[in-house]
Amino acid sequence: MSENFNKLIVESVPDQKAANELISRLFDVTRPDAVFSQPVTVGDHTIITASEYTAGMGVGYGGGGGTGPGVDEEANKANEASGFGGGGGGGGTTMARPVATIIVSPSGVRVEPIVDVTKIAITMFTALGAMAMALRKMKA
Amino acid sequence: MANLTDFIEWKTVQGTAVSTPHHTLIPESQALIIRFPYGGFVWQRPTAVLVQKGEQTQRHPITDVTRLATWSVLAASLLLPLLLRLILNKSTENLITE
Repeated sequence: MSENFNKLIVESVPDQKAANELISRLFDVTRPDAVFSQPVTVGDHTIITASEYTAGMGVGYGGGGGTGPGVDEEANKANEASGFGGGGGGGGTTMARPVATIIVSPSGVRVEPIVDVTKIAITMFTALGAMAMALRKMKA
Repeated sequence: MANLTDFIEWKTVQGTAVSTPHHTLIPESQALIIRFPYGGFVWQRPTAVLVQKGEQTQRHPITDVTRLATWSVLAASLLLPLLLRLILNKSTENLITE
């Protein structure tokens, strides 16, 4: 049993190492170049887009083994009724939203905000719904 | 013993300068990093752009209008029912005393 279990642990170590490396790479993206796009030049004007960036990631793994009652006495003695298993999983998400554009022209630099009307409208309708429910509860 | 700063980090970072024919721009951003033993979370937002022209440096802040608007709507949705309740309670008390 211990031999198999050790084999399982040793086999899972490279996977765990790879997962940890992947997580550490997540933190490498915290540099301004990730939120500011490459400049685009059109004539005299240069445009840079600034975006908000969110990323999350998680991994999990585990393994285990055990012995159970054998089919017959002989199996029990030989300790053959045993099982081992291991597994892992992970998940992640990234989100980016443009916040503003930086327009560079010979006359100067302008920062123009980008307004996400859809997001504001969704928030407003959700808030209105919550307010209506709160008012209904107050009246009751 | 592990410090809180080992798990949570809040930093302001400046990027590499971008040169245009008339100006030099230095992007600036803020990042929130949360580290877990088996995962993590990163939130990064642009805060400003530093514009260098000759020896002068100007800071142009970047305002996230969408976030400002959504938080304002959420704050209003919390405050308005409370205000309405206060007003209604007061008017009911006034009616009883009269």
